[in-house]
This record gives sequence, C-alpha cells and structure tokens, in this order.
Amino acid sequence: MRFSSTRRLSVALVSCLTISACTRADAGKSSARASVLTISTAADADALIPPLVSTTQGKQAVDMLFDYLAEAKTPVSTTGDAGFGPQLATRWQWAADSLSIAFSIDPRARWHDGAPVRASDVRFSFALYTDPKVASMHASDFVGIDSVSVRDSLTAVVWWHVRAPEQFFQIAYNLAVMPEHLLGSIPRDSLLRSAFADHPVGSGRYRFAQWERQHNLVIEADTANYRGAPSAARIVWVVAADPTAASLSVLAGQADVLEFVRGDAFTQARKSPRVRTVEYSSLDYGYMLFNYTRSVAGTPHLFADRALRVALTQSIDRASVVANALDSLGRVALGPFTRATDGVDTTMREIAFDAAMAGHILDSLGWARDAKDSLRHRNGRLLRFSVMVPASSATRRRIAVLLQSQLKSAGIQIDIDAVESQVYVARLAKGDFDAALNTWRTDPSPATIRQVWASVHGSDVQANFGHYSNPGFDAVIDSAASTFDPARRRAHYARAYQGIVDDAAAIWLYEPRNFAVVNNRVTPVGMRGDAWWAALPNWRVAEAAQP
Amino acid sequence: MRVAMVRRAPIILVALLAIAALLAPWLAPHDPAAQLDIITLKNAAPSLSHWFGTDPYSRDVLSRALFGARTSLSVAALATTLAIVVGCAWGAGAASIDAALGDGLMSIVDVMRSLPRVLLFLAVAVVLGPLGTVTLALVLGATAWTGVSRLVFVLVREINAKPFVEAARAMGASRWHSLRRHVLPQLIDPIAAAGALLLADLLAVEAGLSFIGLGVRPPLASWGSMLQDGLPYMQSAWWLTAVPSLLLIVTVLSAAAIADRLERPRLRG
Amino acid sequence: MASFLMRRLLHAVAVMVIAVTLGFALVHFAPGDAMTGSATEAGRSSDARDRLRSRAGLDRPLAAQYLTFVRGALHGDLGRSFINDQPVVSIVGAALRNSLVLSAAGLTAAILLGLGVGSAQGWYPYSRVWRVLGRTLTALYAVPEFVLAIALIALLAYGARWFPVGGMNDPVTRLLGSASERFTDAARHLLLPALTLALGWGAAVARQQRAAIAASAGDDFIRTARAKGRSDRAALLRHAMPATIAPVIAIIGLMLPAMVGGSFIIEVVFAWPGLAVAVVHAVAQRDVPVVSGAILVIALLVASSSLLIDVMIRAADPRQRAA
Repeated sequence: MRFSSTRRLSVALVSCLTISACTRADAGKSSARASVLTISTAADADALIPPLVSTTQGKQAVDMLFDYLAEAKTPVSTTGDAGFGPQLATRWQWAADSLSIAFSIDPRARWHDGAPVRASDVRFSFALYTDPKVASMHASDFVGIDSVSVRDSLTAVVWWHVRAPEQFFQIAYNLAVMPEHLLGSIPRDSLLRSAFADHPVGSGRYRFAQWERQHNLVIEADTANYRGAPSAARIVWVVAADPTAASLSVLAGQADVLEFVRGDAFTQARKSPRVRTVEYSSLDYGYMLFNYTRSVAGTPHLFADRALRVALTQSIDRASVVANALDSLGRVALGPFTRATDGVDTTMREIAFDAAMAGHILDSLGWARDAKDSLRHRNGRLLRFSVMVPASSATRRRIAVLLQSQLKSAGIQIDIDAVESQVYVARLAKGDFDAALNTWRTDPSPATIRQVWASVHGSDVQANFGHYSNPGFDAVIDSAASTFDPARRRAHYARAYQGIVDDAAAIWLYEPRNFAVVNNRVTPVGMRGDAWWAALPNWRVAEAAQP
Repeated sequence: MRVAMVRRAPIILVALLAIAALLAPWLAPHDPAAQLDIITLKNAAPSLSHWFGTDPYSRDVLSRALFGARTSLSVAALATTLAIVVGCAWGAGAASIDAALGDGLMSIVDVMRSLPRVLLFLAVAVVLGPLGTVTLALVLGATAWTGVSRLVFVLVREINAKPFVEAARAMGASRWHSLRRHVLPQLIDPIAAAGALLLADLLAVEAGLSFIGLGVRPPLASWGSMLQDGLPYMQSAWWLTAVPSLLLIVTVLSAAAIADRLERPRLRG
Repeated sequence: MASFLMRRLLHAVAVMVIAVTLGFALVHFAPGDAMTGSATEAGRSSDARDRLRSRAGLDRPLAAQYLTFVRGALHGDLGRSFINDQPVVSIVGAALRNSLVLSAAGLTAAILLGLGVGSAQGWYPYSRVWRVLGRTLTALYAVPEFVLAIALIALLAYGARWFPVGGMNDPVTRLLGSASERFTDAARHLLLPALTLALGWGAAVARQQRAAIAASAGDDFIRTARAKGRSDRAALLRHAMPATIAPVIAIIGLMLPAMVGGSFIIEVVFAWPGLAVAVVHAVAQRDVPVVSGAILVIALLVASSSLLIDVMIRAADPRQRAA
C-alpha cells in the first residue's frame, strides 16, 4: 500500500510538472487549460480493465485507452458489417460459410509501451473476457462465439458456432483488445490488484496519465498513435461531490462537459452565455412493470388480464405526467424501445388517455365504485396494489406520486413503496412486488428486447422480472432476430413492437431526453445514444480559454 | 403584562400549532394530496388563492403544512410518550433494586447511549424500508428512551438517599409506597422538561428521516417530506423549503423554551 | 483510578463490539448484496455474480465471515472493498482524514465561539448584547442541524453565492490550480459546513461556560481579586477560567455521540467526503468490508475520545481526583 501511494504521488508530481511545464511554454495559465478537456461527473470510474468495468465513467475512459477491432458508425447498425469502419483491424474477410471472420490487424498499431499489437492479443483478450476466473459481467456478450485463433502474427480469426445476423457487431462492438505481454502473467482472479489496474496500457489514441481515485482521472494524447493524434492534448474526468456540484462546475465554466442535465440546471444552462446544451439520442425508457404471477386485490394473476391493463393505461394522462415530471427533458414512451431504436415507427398505434373508457372497462370487469369512498371494489375487495420505486430516483418517485393521484380518480388505490435501491433490485429479482416503476436501457442490438419481454423458460428470468408471457410476441421477435435481410428484419420488429404495445404489457411512461452541457469553446462531434463519448478524440477544443 | 405574554409565547405557539393540527381537516382550504393541476399550478408562487403557494405536484402548501403538522406532531408526541414510559420504568426500576444489579442495568443504557443513533436509523432504513406513522413513532421512541432512563435513575437514587425517605422505609413503608409517595411527585417537573426537549429532538429526527426519503409514505405530508419535495427547487421556488423549515424551527424553539422554563425552578431550588 | 479506567475501558470495548456487530449484521440482513448491481445488470447472466460472491466469501456461513472479519481487524487488516478491490484501510483512512478536518474545524470554532460568548455572558450578566447573543446561540442549538445547513446553503451558497454548495474542493482547481488557489478553494468549501457545526455545538459550550463563570464570579477569591483592583480581564483569566475548564470538557464529552450523529447529517447534506458519506455509500452498495471498517473506526473514535475526556475531567478537577 505504501508503495502504491508513493507511486501515485510521484505520478501526480510528474503530471504537475508537465502541467506547469506547459504553463511556462504557453506563457499563461489559461492556455494550459485550453488544451485540456474536462468532463465533470458525480461518480468515479470503477476500473480501467475493460472486462471489469461496469460504470459509464469507467467505460468512457476505457474506450479512449483501448481499441476495438472495428469502429461503429453513427447510428450503430447491428446487422452485418455495413455499420462499421476500420479501427484496430484495417480489413476483415468473412469465411464462405460465414462461421468465421479473419481480422487483419493494422501493422502500425503499437501499445503505449511501444510493443506492437499482435493477433495473439485478440485471442488473449477474448480469453480474458470469457474466463470464469475473471468473472466479467460482459462474458455473456460473447455467447455463440466458439474461439479466436491466430492465423499469423497480424491475422486473428474469430469462430462462431452458428451463423447469426449480428455476428460482426458482437465481436467488433464488445471486444476491447488488451496487451497479452502485460496482462498474461497476472492471476486472472486478482486483476484489479495488479499494477496494470493502476496504470493501464492500451493502444488507443489516448494514453493513461494519472488516476487519483474519487478525485480525477487524466489521460493524455498519444501523439504518435497509428490512427493519428487526437484533438485535445489531455482529457480529465473530475469527480464532483454530487450531481449538483458537477453541474455547477460546468455552468461556472470550470469544467467543459456534463453528460446530461436535469431540473433547474437545464434552465440555467439554456440561459447561460458560456455553455450550450447538445441533445443526443436516448436509449432509456421508463415503465410501470406488472408482476403477472402475483395475487393482487384478492385475484390471482390480476395483471394477466389484458382488459385491466388497458384500463389502467387509459386512466393515466401520460402526457401531463411526463410534462410535470420532466418538463422538456422527456417524452411519453411509445413502448419497450425508444424513438432512436432502429425500425421504430413513431406514428404507431397507442392506447390513449380515456378516463371514461377506462371506467366502462373496470365496471364491466366487476370493479364497481363504492358510494362511500368512490374507490372500486369487487367481491368486497378493494382494487389496490403497491408500486415499488427506488428511493434514489427523484424522477420515478415524482411519477409515482402523480400516478397515485390519477389512479385514485379512476377509483384505484396504489401504495408507494419507496425502497433503497439495492432492496429494489433484490425484490425485483425475487419477484417480490405487485408493480414497480422500472427503467431499462436498451442495447444497440434490438434483439436484446428478449431479455426483458420474452417468455421465461426455466429458472433464468433474465430481466423479465414480472414474468410477462406472450407467445405471439416471442415468435415474431425470434424470427426478427434471425432474419438477415435488413428490410424484412425491420418489418418483423415493427410487428413485434405493435403487438406488445397493443397488449399493454406495461404502462409505457417516459423516455428521457439527453442533453449534454458543453462549454462554448468545445465542439462536440459524433455523439451516439449508446456512447456519447465515442468520438471524443475528435472533439475540437478552441485555444481561446473561457474566463 | 407584555413580559408575561412574551414568557408565555412558546406555550401559546405550541398550543396554536397543536390546535391547527387537530383542526386541519376543517382549516385546510384543500385536500393535502389533491393535485390541483399538474401542468399550470406546478410550483405556483404564494398568492391570494394559495397563501403558501403550491408544490411540484400542484398541491396546496398551506394545506400540506397543516396536515404535515398533524403527522409530525403526532409522531413526535407518540414517540416521546413511549420514550418517557419506558425510560421511567427502566430508570426507576434500576434505582429501586439492588445497587449492583441497578448499575448493571444502567451500564447497558450507557452503552446504548454511546452508539451513534444514525447507525440505528440507517439500519431501520435498509432493513425495514419506508414506515407507517405508528411504526415510525415506535422506532423513534425505542431509540430515545435511554436519556430519560438515565435522568430518572439519577433522580430516584438521589431522592431515595434523602433522610425522610430512608426514615419512611425504616418505619416499614414498602418500596412501591415510597416510590409513589415521595419520589414520583418530585420527578414530574424534570421529566416534563426532558419530555419537551425530547419532543423537539424527535420532531427534528422525524423531519430528518422524511427528508432523506425514509420517513412517512407519500402522499402523506410531514414537514420533513415537504422539505424533501422542495429541495430541488431551492432557487426557483423558495416557499417550498421556507414554509416547513420555519414551522420546524418555531416548534422546536418553543419546545426548547418550555423545557427551559420547567427546568429552572429545580435549578433554583 | 485504576478500577475507574478498567470500567471505562470495558465500556469502550462493549460499545465497539456492539457497533461493529450491528453494522456487520445490518448489511448482511439487508436485501441484496454487493454483486446484485443495477436492475439492468441483475437482468443479465448471473454466473459472473455467483463467482464473485464465492470469491468474496459470501457463500460461507455468516458466523465464519464474521470471525474472519474480527480476526483480520485484530491484526489491523480490514480486508478489501467488494466493489473495487481497494484496501479498506486506505478507503476508510481517506474518509477519516476528511471527517477529522471538518470536525476539528467545527469543534475549534464551536469552542472559541462558546467560550467567548459564554464567558462574556457570565462575566457581564447585565449586558444586553451578550444576553441576546447567548440566546441566539441557544436558539440555533435547538434548530435541527440539517435545517440549519439548508438555510445556510440557501442564503449563502445559492443566494449570496459566497460559498460553494458542497464538496471538499473544486476538482478542477484541485488538479490545475496554483497552491494558493487550491488553499483558498479548500477554505471556502470548509467554511460553511464548519460554521453549521460550530453554531450548533457552540451553544452547549456557551451555556456551560456561562454557568461556570457566573458561579465562580460569586466565589470569594474572585470577589477578593476584583476588590483588590485587578482588572476584570485579568481576574477572569487568572481565577475564573481555570475552574471552568473541567465542565466544558465534560460537556464536549457528553456531546460526542451526538456530534458524530450531527456531523453525519452535515456531511451528507454538504456532500463532504468523510466517514458518513463513505458509510452511506457502502451501505447502499452492500460493501460489507467498507461498512464494517468504517463503523469500527467511528466506534473507536467515539469510545476512545470519550475515554480520553473522562480521564481529562478527572485530571482537571481536583475534587474528582481526590474522590
């Protein structure tokens, strides 16, 4: 421990010296900041070894430090290789049976310690991601890949068990290539305790400079990089004490970038002459998740009744709820996907707010209003259920209270269960809830919708916490996922989406809009919904520093 | 006359608040949970139609403040009562029995008093989750009785050692009799003072718990939950935090002043 | 004295054992564990999580896990965080340092404020200025800490913009600023939370000091000193002050647990990266080693400082020494 803290100190000292050297060279402190792009965040990166990263801050840094085999274009297209350009691989060749792809590594590619990048590094990286000892959360991203072999020192061949439309996406999007000569000898179950974890070496356009946990993470331009020197000389993630402090830091001109704003800070950013807001697409949606297996209000499987779900949806004025809770920072969700999802028809058929119709349906189901409390009862049981929300989410707590009031006017009582976030997840996973306000981050790959909404087989519920089951939906989505032709595939997905929306599988509530706050001296490019930072090395930073 | 008014101000204030809390259903202009218009009446500034403005859910802040008083005061009062009953029983019990055993009982209390109370609340928050008003009061009371028991223990021992009590005991009066006859009357003032302080303290704790989202369940209002609702709008809608803060401060200060008054005669004597 | 020390030590150990056991039990009995992750992660393959669980020893019996922790703690080894595999000692150490900075600043300010106002009030019982000041301080003492903190943030941070809203420093200044800029920045961040603590704690000290000074002002030797023509200030400093030290130390000792609780909430409201924030985060993440380690340190802090205070009171007060 003493060793590492001494070293951290020396790293800090060295970077202080380089910074002060810059200061002198550029004659003036302000211009030292001009070449630095500072990103304000409220949380530190968790790790800098790609298979072990699970926070967005860690992913941002790792994506700068390491290379992938190919680079996704904007927006990400997941079928075939049309959506990708060269990155670590200059070109690739599909085998005749499409069961393998041979990637040719760029011969100019070098690790930041000077060693050349080899095909064996690709094989090693795949092994690292999928080794049970590493216990990477990303191991499941590689399901279906048999192995990686080395044809020659610059050609890596990836092998699949079966042909699938998203083969190329799967390997190119998910596999960050790591150096075997530095990581190979480290025990796989203690990677995070290695020197590499504190000083990662990649082949990306930025190299690691300094990481002071809970304070800052600094990376600097790899000026001799084979893909060219990046724009900003240094990128710094500064960890603010909390989200408020993080946004104030950007509004005050101290930091340059905030990945997204909420609430009062958005209004201030809109008014400020120093910063601007930049929208990029969102992949999240929020919904009221029903537990289909639960006995609620004296009725087994209450939520399995489509008519009831439709009536619940019709009882809620979703447009007003979203406007109140998110102002202009959200839209009403269409379904279990977002407007940015490939193949979504934004003019699709929706279940509209119609309190009168909802009343008729509930009456016909036998849920009659009681004269005394004007709530709905059937066989002496009140139509009442609890809605679980994580106490840490201000948005969902807000929406829960709004829904509570709207459902009350429809004669339905809901009890809000605001629980601590770990309790929330644990109870979701156990199925211990009536309904919950949940959010889901969709993947660029539309096929992953199956994790959340396809029928559960066996004990692995994946993310279908409420055990929703719709064989029609399952069938359509399966054929969509295995269709190679883009147009037919899109048509299948559109049918599946309309089907699940018509079925009122959940109450689709909101889709947040992402606005980054960016200092005027910075010109962002290529912000993607799945990774706004994807083109960070190309963001232009003006030399003229802001006061 | 003026001096008398000033001296009575705390009692009058607390009484007024208690009456307002009791009469909330008749005094409040609106249903405290009613969302009047979530689009046009969100965070409306104080006006003639809404004296204290409206909150992010377009609910009337005055009505919520009145009903909030009901929740906050009743939780604190219930918890205080519980703490006093348990504290008196434990303290008086420990003081009236064998000295060594009594000391043992009190060292349990001392250890409990040394534990930072926040840890216990953290435990409650994580393990029990959001609480109903009665459970909340029970939990607060269960963590607050140790102070009272220490006070009672010391007082009872002191009084028991006084010559006239010892004389009565020597003449054959039972422990129970001497406790009721000689000890209890002398305890009333200090316990009332401790109770007033405890009430102030528990009001603050209840508000603190609701403030971090672990107090009463929505849509029930308490001063702490009102503070929590208003916090994100500290800049744009000051009335959301100002109203509950001021109410809390006034109540807590009044309770402290009352406690001070009750303690003074004892200090003089 | 020896038996007194023995008793106090036993008490301190009991407090620590109970606190740590409670903390340990709390995170274990709470739903979810460090490997549960977010709802999105929970929905993905569970194999990796199970492996991490068994690596962390979470599949062993609770008693065995507890014993491992206790054995390690006795050897000064608090283990490693479940979340990022960092040594708990370094995580908790950094948080402890930050907490101590804030508490030391708050306590120093509180003592200065309390001694000043309390002495003046006791010495000049008929001065209206000091009485009003004393009353204000007493009033502030009754106000819940977090309400005071919110009021100060609203007025001085958001309103007047004199102070930052939270945190211990501005991370950009910390990284890129000059030494003097960094110092000013750190001081600005420290001032508001320290002031909040001082306003709350100062009243208790002032109250005690006022009573002690007023009592000793009536003492014969002080009256004599004053009659002999000594200036008020000299009499106060030479004769009255020393007698008041023990009760003031005592009141600080009595307040210690409350102070830990008080600064707990202040740390959270001001996002001060101390022990409180560390515990809250670690509990939320079910990072058992960090929770246990941090609670151990808090309990150690409370127990040892109240032990120290007890000893100091005995040493400072001749009557107690004789007894």
